[in-house]
Amino acid sequence: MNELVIVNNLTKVYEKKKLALDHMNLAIPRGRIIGLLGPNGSGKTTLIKLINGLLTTTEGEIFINGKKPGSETKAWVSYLPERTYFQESMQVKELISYFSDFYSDFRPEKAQQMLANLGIDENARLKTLSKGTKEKVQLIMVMSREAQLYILDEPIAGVDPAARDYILKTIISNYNENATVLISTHLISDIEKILDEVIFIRDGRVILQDTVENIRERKGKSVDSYFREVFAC
Amino acid sequence: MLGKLLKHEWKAVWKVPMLMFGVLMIMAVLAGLTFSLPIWDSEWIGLPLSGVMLLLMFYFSMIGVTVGVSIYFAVRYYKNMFTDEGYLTHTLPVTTHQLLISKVITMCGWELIASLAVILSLILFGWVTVLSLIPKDSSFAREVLEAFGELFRAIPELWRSPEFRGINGFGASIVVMMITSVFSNAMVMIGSVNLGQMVRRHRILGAVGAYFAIQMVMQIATTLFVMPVMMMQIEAIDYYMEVSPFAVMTPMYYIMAVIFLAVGIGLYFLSEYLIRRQLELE
Repeated sequence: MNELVIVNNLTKVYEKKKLALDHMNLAIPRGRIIGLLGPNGSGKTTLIKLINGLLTTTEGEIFINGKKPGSETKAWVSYLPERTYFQESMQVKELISYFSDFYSDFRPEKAQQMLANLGIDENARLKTLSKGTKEKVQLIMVMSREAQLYILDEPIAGVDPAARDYILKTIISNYNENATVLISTHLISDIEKILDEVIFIRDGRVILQDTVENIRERKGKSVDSYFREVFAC
Repeated sequence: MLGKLLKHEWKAVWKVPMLMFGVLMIMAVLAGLTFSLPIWDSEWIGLPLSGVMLLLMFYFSMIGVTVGVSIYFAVRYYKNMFTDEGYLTHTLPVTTHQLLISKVITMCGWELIASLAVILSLILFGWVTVLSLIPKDSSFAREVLEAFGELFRAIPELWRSPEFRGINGFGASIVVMMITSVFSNAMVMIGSVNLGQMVRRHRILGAVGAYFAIQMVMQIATTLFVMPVMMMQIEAIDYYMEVSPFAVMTPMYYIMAVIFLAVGIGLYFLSEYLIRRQLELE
């Protein structure tokens, strides 16, 4: 089975009858870096949260390695949310100990090396760090796992271009070759160079899933240009 | 995984309750020390009044610690489970039962420690008071100590007297009732926060509403179950008084313990279901 994630007929309706995902069908293969692309409110974050078990489905199913989201799948998925989610009072070294305790695939030495490269003090408390540094710490923790699926929700939004380069470099050099990286973003031009495949989402439905190579060959455009064409207002 | 959850939970929470206990002990010492000051016989009302104020502050510190610990853990539970921190909590490779049990054990543990801290502060207050009185009126302090000594010496004899028959069962019922009430208190807090999540747009307000609703149901249940037993016992009061006055209270405490246990277990499974099947992180 080459598919790591299978989404069947997935529907999510929020309160106030807001339809976020509309009978979505999707298969995410292994060993790829995939861009989950779509305009704001298209359902990217909802899909990600459902895969991580942070929301409950209205209809349909999700399978990760053949299992529904639960404690078992959480051991395989390394998730970076689009917000700062660690306890502010924690020290960086406490985070390392926390991740080491809970995730058997976490490699503390890898995290320590990346922190040292960035000059981040392990004794520093998160509340004393700048927003950008906190985001880097989060990314380091997430990418220091040898997970089967990395899900990065807007990893480069709100950081300066230099930091973007660092983040992309960290993603490429640290992910497990057999794993899949799913990156949700609307800053396509910045990440296009690292993507193998893209998934376009509009109004809670998948409207395109193809390789970056195919898009370039068949459409004669970059993914960014094609995205602008498809989602033109 | 439960052990790891407990380890990190205790590591994350110990500072705030310990700070509260520290303040309580300081208040106990200060309140006790007021008896060594020459303020009680002062002509000016302000001085004895300030002494009374200090004693009252100690009294409110005791209440503050008990209530404060509960509120602190309820707020922490909410933050840890349903705000940004929930993104980490709910992506840990642990089951909902493990997550919930770790929270319940920690909360119950700290509520028991808070009760012990209140008892300890009272002992400390009494001790400092006696020590404060010795220089002023050594005979009074001696009398107090002697009275306590006599009381302790008399306890074994009292224990064996017919009036104290049934006191062991009574003591056991109080202990059982207290333990189950700590569990139910923790579950009422946790259950309220979880039920509040169902009110998607006003989650905190929902939790507060759920708390008062649960308390009301518990009050009604206690009244419904305890009152008939009390009435029956009052009717047979002569018989009970003949046996032992403690026997009157014992069944009531056990009934209350059963109610606390039932509420606690019910809220536990409801909470587990709500987290597992109804989780909606914003």
